[in-house]
Amino acid sequence: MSSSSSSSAAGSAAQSSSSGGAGAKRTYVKLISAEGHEFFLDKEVAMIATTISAMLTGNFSESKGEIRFPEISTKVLEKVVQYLHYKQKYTNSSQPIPEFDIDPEMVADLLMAANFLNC
Amino acid sequence: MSMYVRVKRQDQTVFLRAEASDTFRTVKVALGDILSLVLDDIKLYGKDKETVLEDEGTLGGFEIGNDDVIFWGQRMDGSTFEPASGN
Repeated sequence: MSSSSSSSAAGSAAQSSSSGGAGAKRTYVKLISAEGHEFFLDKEVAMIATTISAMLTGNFSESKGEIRFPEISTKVLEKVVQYLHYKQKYTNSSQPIPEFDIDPEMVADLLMAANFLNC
Repeated sequence: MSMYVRVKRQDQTVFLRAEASDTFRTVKVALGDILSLVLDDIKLYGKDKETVLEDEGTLGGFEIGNDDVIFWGQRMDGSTFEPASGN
């Protein structure tokens, strides 16, 4: 019943992927930007990025649920995380898909990050 | 799960999965779970960084929607909490 106290760990093992609000137990992982900003997000969403998925399921320290990205700035990493949620929400969706806004100044860096993360 | 809110404090951002009907108490519990904190040590602030979000309120009730940013402060001592920080 009690879970590990480290911030990168999951809650209990059981998790529902599509129901419940903030109360449903989910696993969160931590992504850290170049400047050290920590982003916590639903592991299911993080895994949409193939690179992250590989890092989290390997035998490296990343599989503890925490990954550092020294080459990705905070602004860009935040945008990537927003994009992963957007992708999860609208993949295979029949509803009209809204545009995903990107600041033109960020495009080059975002493209490199997306390429690296494979998402 | 329909949405997420970004809960910020200093150099941390939690992309918290939630529903519009979730109470702020539920949000605090989930946040506490992720950050290894007790819900009593968490104070939630609205988008303006000033409005205190009390336990019984809901995200929807305060018009906090998908991808919106709210803030949280940690209890410092006694009844004093940090103000909202980060962006």
